[in-house]
Amino acid sequence: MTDHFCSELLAKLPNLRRFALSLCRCQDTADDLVQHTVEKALAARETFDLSTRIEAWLFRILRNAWIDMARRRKIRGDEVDITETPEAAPTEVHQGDTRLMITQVMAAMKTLSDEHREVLILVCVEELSYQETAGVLGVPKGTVMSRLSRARTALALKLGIH
Amino acid sequence: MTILTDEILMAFVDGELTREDARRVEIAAEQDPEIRRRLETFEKTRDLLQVVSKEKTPIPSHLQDSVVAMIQAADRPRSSQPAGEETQKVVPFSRPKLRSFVPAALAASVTLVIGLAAGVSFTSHQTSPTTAHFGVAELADPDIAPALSVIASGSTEHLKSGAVLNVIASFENSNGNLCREFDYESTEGTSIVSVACHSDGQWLPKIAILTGGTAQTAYAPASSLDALESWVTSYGLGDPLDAEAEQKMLTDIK
Repeated sequence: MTDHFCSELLAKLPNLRRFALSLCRCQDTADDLVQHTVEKALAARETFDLSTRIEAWLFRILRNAWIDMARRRKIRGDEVDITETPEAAPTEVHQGDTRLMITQVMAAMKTLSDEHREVLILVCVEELSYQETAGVLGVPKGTVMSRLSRARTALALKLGIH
Repeated sequence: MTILTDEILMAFVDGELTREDARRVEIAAEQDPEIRRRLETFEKTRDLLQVVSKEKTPIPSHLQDSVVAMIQAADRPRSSQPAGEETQKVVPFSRPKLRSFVPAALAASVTLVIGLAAGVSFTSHQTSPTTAHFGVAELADPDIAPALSVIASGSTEHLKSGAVLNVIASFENSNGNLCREFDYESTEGTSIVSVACHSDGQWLPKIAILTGGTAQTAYAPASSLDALESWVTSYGLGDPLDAEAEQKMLTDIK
């Protein structure tokens, strides 16, 4: 059942979920978003350009689904659940320092704006290029760069780096 | 010499500069501790986030299972079913993963999805057996249609029957007709999300999703909206109209 496309899709689930969590900060919604993304990806697999990286394409689908969902909730007047994610704390056992550091970084990330958080995740965590990130966000590369540099400056400030 | 902006320094750290530009940054960094300090800020933020990225939070088993089920389901019809427009019109709601995702208590109350290829108008005399068969009797309230022609998205109308109509969004379909997404909450507590399109002076519901209306509804929208969004996309409705465009189309159909 699993051809290359499907196994790639499965392999990227953790990345999709991480990105989804960074957008909506609610596990149920994040899981819904991931499912939705997989569904759309399967339906649109013929349109996937094999010469590009699948995660950039998947992130774009996920982000559009999120915008759509957020818009509908807003129109409906529902509150978006911003429950803190209990799993933000690492699940594996780590050296104390690393663990503390991760907790601090995660905490600092939560205080950033959505715009800053998503660009940081895409470039620094998911290692997309500026150009790929521009494609996901639907903005020019220059915008990605200015946003990203401000986001990193803001994060550095919160973490007390210089 | 051009100023080394934050963007350029960051791009250097991220390996996004051309060799020439990178060389320029290297030279400047060698001479200027301030440049080195700024570079370090970008390096450190990247390094920290990469440590975070090594943290693999496990995928919940229900999510993993439902995704695998989706892939299997998608594989089966792929060879046999042509992806024509007609097949897309029916809601792609053969979604085993959603079922497994909805809590058991909720599964009973959600979700009846009706893709209405033929269309049934919202008028009280539309009580043909076919209508009832499709369950659109739920939308037989004669006040729905007039309200859809008037009220703006985001507003709520209390109908004479005691039901509540929330108009959610407006779209323009491929024929240039106005379509409106709305919630209809009946006095019996049932709640329906539907999209109706205006054609030949009538509002024709194209899809209706029964979302129940009990205490669990707080959980229902995400899943049922999912189905609705898939449908909106496959039906070619695109992005919702802004208030101005909506008002214009409402005026046009008067």
